[in-house]
Amino acid sequence: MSDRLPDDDWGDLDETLDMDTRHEARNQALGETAQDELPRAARLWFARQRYVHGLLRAMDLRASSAARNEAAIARVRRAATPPSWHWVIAAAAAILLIGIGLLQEGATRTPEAIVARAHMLLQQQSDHAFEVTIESTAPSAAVPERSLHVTMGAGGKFVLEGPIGFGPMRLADSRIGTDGTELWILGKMLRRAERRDGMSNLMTRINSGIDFDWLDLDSLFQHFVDSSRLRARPATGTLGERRICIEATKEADHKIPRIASVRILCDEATNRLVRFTIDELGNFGHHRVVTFDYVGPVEKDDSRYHRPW
Amino acid sequence: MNRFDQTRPFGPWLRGIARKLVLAFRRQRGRSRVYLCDEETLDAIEMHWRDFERLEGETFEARLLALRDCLGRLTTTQQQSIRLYYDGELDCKRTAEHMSMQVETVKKLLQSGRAALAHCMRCKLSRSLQGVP
Repeated sequence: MSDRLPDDDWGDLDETLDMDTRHEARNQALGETAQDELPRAARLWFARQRYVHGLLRAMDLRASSAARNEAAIARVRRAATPPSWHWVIAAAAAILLIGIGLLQEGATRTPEAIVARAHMLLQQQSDHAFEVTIESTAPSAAVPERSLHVTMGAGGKFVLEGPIGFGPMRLADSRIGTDGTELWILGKMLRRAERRDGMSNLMTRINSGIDFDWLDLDSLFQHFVDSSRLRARPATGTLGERRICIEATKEADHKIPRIASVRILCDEATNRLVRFTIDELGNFGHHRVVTFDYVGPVEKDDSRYHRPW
Repeated sequence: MNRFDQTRPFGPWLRGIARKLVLAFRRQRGRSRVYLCDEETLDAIEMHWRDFERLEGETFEARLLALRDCLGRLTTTQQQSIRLYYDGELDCKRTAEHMSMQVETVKKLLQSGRAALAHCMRCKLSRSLQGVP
């Protein structure tokens, strides 16, 4: 048997790569006669590809049998549409491809794959809400513990609400936002807006306790891609849920403050994001820990990021 | 399930039912309207599963160890594409974005990686049947 790659004519019929209606359309275009004329080597190649595809699918399934079965059923449902007998056929095809691997123990995902999947799941919705907690270990912390609420949108848009410092003032109930081009702040006695181009005067006076770069999910996940080391460890939620924590660390540099580590906590079965935590190391070895607890997706509404006046 | 003879292996029985359903569906809809899954192709898939069941190991998971070992022998880019596509459940487009590659390149990587895995598994079976560790 040859392991060479297929001719492009029939390699495109490989439905195991992004199974969707395009393959059926290609099959129709190819026609019955052409299928019959496919060389035997093509059939054997398809068989090998589907067999290994089934094994890899079986390997990928997760720790608990309930989660494995749920994932398998979800895949079959995604691959088939009503009427119901299509579902049965899709299930039959899945059994052929996956063998009986669904009944077996699966493997744990790599940290890189968990992070990539968590990012992809977030990208399925455009806007997300987080509760932010800032804690410092410094004895006379310039930034005392505080809680904020943030909504983030694509393209670095965000709205941050809660107690925010502005120059020497501390605004108890205020909002900062950006639509990507303009940065604004709104308090009871204050309203300012400036173009968001690098170090604007406004930006240097705001003390939210958070580096605005962290308010862009794509930048956050890029940190994991750029990190020199990812480590995964199991964790437990407050109600006993099974979680997995991925920690990214970079080679030490001499910048102060510097990021000591970034961690994301995900649901073990689905890899959905639960929390991310940034640990910054400041002067005299004091740490500042910023925790973003994921609240959930919010309806896309770009108007929330524009200045409200 | 009540027709299943418990003295016989479960996997081939289940796959036999799946095969009949697929072929019936193919007859019903016409060959041109379904994926390439004629009898010859299904026979070849079944042959691979039978080979898999002959690998060393009492359980499916134990036999998967051979696959895990073979995965480690792929090129770095083949491994990365497979981990993102299967472990990460990303589609080809997103896998390509993560790898900074063209989608078609990722598809070829996945296909070449799977072909290499099939070859590696065959070699393992052959060594195992010859009693070579």
